[in-house]
Amino acid sequence: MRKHKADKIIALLVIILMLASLVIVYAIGGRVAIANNAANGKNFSETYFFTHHIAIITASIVAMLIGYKISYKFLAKIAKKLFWFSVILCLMVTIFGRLNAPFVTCDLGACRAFWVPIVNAGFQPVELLKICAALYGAYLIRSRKKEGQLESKEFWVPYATIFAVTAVIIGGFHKDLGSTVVISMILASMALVGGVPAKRLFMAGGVLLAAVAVLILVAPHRLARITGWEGDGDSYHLNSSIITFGTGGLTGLGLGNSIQASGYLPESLTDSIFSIIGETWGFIGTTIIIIIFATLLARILRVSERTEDEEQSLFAVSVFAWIISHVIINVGGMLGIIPMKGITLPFLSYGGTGMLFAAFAVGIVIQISGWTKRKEINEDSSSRRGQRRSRYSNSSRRS
Amino acid sequence: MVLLFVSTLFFIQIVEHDKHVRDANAMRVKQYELLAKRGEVYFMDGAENVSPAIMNERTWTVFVDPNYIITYGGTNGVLKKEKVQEKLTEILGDSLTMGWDKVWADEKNMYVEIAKNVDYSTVSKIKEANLRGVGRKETSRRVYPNGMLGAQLLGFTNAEGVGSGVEGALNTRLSGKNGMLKTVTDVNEIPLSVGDENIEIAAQNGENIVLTIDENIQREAEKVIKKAVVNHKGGISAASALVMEPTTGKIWAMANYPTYDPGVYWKEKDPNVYVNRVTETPYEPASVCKPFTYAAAINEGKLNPDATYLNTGKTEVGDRIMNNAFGTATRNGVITFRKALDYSLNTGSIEVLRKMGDGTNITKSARVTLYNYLHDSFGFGQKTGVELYEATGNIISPNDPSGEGNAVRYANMTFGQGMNLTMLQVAAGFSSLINGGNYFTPTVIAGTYENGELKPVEQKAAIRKTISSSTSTEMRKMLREVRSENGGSGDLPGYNVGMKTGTAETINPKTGQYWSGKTNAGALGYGGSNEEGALPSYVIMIRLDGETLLWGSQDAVPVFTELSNYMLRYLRIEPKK
Repeated sequence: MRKHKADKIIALLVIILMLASLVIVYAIGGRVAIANNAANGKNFSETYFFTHHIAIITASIVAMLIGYKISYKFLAKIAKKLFWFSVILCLMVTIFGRLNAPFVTCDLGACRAFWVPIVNAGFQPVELLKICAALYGAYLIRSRKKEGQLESKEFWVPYATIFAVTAVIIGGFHKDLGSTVVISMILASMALVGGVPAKRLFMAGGVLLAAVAVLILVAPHRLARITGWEGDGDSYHLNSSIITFGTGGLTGLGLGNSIQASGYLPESLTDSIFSIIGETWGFIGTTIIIIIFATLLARILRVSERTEDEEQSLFAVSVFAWIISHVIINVGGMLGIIPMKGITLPFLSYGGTGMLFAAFAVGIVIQISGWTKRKEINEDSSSRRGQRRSRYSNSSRRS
Repeated sequence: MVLLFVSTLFFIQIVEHDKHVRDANAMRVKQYELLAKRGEVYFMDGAENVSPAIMNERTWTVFVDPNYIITYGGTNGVLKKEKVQEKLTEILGDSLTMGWDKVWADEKNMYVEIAKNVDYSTVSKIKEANLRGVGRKETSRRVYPNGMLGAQLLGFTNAEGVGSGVEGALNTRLSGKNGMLKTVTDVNEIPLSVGDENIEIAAQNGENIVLTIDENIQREAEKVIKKAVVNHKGGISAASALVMEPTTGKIWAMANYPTYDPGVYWKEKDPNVYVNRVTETPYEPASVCKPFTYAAAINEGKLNPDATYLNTGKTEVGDRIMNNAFGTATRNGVITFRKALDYSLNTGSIEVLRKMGDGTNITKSARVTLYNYLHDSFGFGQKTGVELYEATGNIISPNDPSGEGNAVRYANMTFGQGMNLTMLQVAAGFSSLINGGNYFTPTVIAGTYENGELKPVEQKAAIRKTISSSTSTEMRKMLREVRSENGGSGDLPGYNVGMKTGTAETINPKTGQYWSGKTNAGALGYGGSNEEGALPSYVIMIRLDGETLLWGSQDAVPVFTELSNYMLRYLRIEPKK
């Protein structure tokens, strides 16, 4: 496999999302700050969120570049260590949170982030855990498959361990059902594509359901979320979200005219940013965002399809699963199609760690796209219909 | 999945758009009343300065949301409720208007006012306590910087805008007009500048009204009537005084005693003290009205004041014998009408009425003539048009179908009985009697106070001629003689003071008959410069309601004298020997 041009469209789409996010945060950040100050006695300046968001996006673009440049082989080699390192970080958040350590931030009894004073921002180790689970999972499948051990305990014990550790620490201690589901999706999608027998997957599915039941018992606020969705009409967040979309109409209220961000819609900057996009840019805006995500996901999937290196292909699948589960859970939740989970919308939601690692992961996918079996499409070709096949010359394949 | 999302978005954003806009507005568009500032009221302090009479003070109403406190107290609900209760009791103390049991009685209730008119320092403590579910709302309270001064005149309004005095009668001008603010708000109900729903109509503040009432004269008038009541030790149930400028109709003082504190009017048990008796309580003023009978006859050319008649101490009218007042027997004999007025002989004024007819009988035409003067010209039994609440009073026409306007009644009316008049009606008529015959509508409004400056209202011209200038001059001369016989020695030397006393029989409302052991005492007069042809500067009217027998000359005259001498000094009138 010879290195060729990487898929710059993926980078472009991600950057478009980031810029849209920046514009929205610029428009509503001040209003959110005022509402937040009034409701919670905080003291945010009106430009606080915008200036932080610029820093986060800059850092994320740098992370994407690092992902693009870093050696995948190196990452694969340290994947296992990295995974356990991130598990320890996640555990430490919980432990220090219980000890009321000042450098851990807790919300509603769930401690999920370290407070990093130098950058004046929170660091959520679960986001690191997501990419590490993907890297380690891909490594496990590829290496065990090579030795024909996919059906033996040599494979499924460590693979199930990744899942179990995630479920206990993220689902149980962090009370973060959304991320638990995302990691489960990452692991399941890689297993499915990687050829793990269906029997095993069904078993895992059963365990997952049991785990969700246990998690609801551990943190009853989830039940309220689900019952709210089931329609006793009392879910304020969902109602506000629907009204936010609804008032946008076809073209939206225009930039800076969001009213819902003034405290009516919870989490306007983070989980609910898609609703604000609906209010600001209307149906046209939301549709464009959906199309961008669909295109981005399709391109990531195509990278996976065309990559010969199975481990890298699996990793691309995991990024696909990662992003699509975030999008489905977030957008579906905001539209009332599925229960709200409290999960971010990749590259759009305000929030540092999630965007940073998602950008890093996409950077790796772009790197992988430079090593596909077929040559990258020449995007400025004026007429490529019907000529697709001829464009991918066999000679570019590795002999 | 893309299809599902986009179609759901289409449904929410396009199909249901209008519904969501309605729902959103219901939640986010708030309508506020922009409260107009109630106008302030001022007294005059001398001829140019003003002095505050009713001011506004910022106060707060404190309320709690029992529903919030009980619900969101969670498992600690009981504790939280008790914490709020303890803290608020500590801060508000006696200001609490409601028992705590009642406050918490209805768990669904979201708004219970627990204290009103809370001052700034107290409400600041509540703010500092930072109790959730406890709110405060700015209101305004009327304060009376001079305490009880002018209480009945100034009055008060209750929450419904119903009240008494200036506060009640001028409520429309004082209250202004509330504005409206319709706006999209944020979740904390702070107005936002976005959206198409915003409407703002500014409030029109009420007018600051300056009264013609002079603070100093008012204070003195209240002082002298109070002194009269106190000195008489229970013999006087109520006293009132009126001071006005006869050449303009401006009222300088309207005093009533007993009185009350309008700042805490709700604490007063007897609502009768709210009444401004000068304008609202008609009575029979008695002999203070005799000059009107004389003036009518002189003006008609029917009476020469120096002519004489035989005073036998009594006279026959219809089937009645009418007597002079007790103690005037020494005046029996042939006497001039001038003297008859000096000694306040009832036979004299009845004789004057006869002269208005055929000279021997109280004819219909005599009665019609007197009625035309008293009712039409002097304004008895008619509202004066002052800007306050006032009673109409009652005077019976000779053409009254009941036949009550007969000779007996009219004989009584010549000395001020048999008709119900307000002090203001009599004093306003009297002003024209001594000012050259020009009737001015009495007024309490000097102007408005805008940006620290008095904007005076234009002086209104006299609305009618009551008597000729020469009749008026004659009346001043006669009244000055009356005064010299009745307390004139008490006047400061070098001034022209004229006056007529009155001792009125009063009707017992239970029996409809005159009381035998109770009379009212009154005095009505003018004062001013001794310069030839100078018009009087002030008119004073005193009314004392007796629990026993009061006498005009004995009880009302000293009150008149004290107030009159005060006026001569206060107005800095030059004496002239």
